[in-house]
Formats: sequence, structure tokens, C-alpha cells
Amino acid sequence: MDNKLLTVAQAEAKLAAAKKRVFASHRLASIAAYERQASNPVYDGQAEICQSKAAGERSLYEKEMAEADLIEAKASEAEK
Amino acid sequence: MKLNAAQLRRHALLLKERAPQFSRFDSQNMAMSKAAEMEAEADLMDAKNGQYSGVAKSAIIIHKYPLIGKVTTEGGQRISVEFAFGEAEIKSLEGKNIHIAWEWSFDPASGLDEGRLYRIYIGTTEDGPRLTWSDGRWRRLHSKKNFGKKYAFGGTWSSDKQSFVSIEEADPEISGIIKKILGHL
Repeated sequence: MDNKLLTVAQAEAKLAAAKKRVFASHRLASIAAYERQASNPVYDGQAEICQSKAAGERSLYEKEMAEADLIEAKASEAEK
Repeated sequence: MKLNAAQLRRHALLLKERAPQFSRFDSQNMAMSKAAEMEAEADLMDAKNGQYSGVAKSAIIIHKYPLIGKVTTEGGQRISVEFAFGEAEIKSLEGKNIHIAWEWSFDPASGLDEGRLYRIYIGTTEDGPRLTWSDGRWRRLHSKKNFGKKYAFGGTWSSDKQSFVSIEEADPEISGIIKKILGHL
């Protein structure tokens, strides 16, 4: 267990970042689903559609993960 | 139902333990991030309650337990145990058909309470588990005699609702023998 002393502001930032990462993890599940479908297309062109959707989801996933890191970084910077 | 911080940490821990069993990476990732969210929520609750104050985090606490001895914890970690008896005394007790067992608190979610003595069990070769101690109270146990060789704690047993502060009140017979051998209770 992380037994560090957190201020309320740090803990709030950590929770906000964690919520973003949970949201992002749902995108990761979508990416995996699109990639599975792309590898087993049921009609012509579906693979390309799924790959492009997966790429779109991935960029949003990366953006949300970066935002989560930024929230935490800002909170720890403010404490210094 | 709103969970408290300790319950959230316990759920998070279970989720983290189970995550690797999920077959797909995205499911594992989702479980791990949900566990992190639960921990963050627990941290926020603790931070608001001032649960882990600087003093509590570094405080050295000396616990004195009946029979067992002195245990020192620091920030929820057991750092030393001074048993009030040695191998010879344990052998003497076993010679009188009395067996003692104890268990430490092992729950990473319990924070500063981690490392405490959780329970003491006393049993006899004939009757099996007869007494248990927890949270400063002694209770009588009634074994269904299926304890095998785990005389102190094994098998199925039920405990009395009535509890006692001292072991002498709970079981004068056993406590008399123990006192004779250990020189204390």
C-alpha cells in the first residue's frame, strides 16, 4: 500500500487522473475490438475501416493518458 | 453502498491480483486502471480525514500482548517481536498437552493496523481449540473434535458470545498450568 502522506489537492488530482485513465482504458478495449475485427473482416473494405477507427481511438487514448499525466504533474509541481 | 477507504483498498488489491488472469490485454488494463481509481479514491478519503498524519506515519508503537510478549510496529510495519517465552517453555506446555498458536494481522489494506497481533489460540491435545483471544478479550471455544494435529486452532469450532478480560476468568484450568510454566499470563 502506498503509505505516503498526500494533501487533499494531490489526492484529488490523483483521483481525477485515475478517472481519466479508466476512461482511456475503455478506448483501449475499443481499439482491441476494432483490431480483432480488422483481422477477420466480414465484407470487403471492413478491415480498412476498422483499422482507421482503431487509429482514431488510439490517438484519443494517447491524448487522455497524457492529460492524466499532466493533471498529476501539475498537482505535484504546485506542492513544491 | 458507499465503501470506506479500507474496503476500497481491499477491492483494489483483489482486482490487481485477478487482473493477470484475464485473457485479453485490454481487460487487464481496464482492471488495473479501475483498481488505481479505487486506490486514488481511498487516498482522497484518507487525505480528507488526515488518516496518515506525519506523526502517525513515523510513530513507533509498542504493543503488549497477553502470553506472547512485546511487539513493536512502525508505520504499520512490525519491526521487532520480543517473545515472553522460549522454545523450552513451548515444549513444556506441549508436554502438558497445551498448545498455543497466534496469527498476525496481514491485510495491506489496513494501513497502520498492519503488523498487529490478530489472534491467539489455545488448545489441548484432548479437546482441541479451547480459547481464543482477539481485541483484548478471551472467548471459550467448543471444538467438533475434527482438529487433527492442529490442537490449538484446527477443525471446526464455535465460540461463546460471552468474553472475558483475563484468561483466568475464561479458563482457570488452562491458565493455571500456563502460569506455572511461563511465570506470567
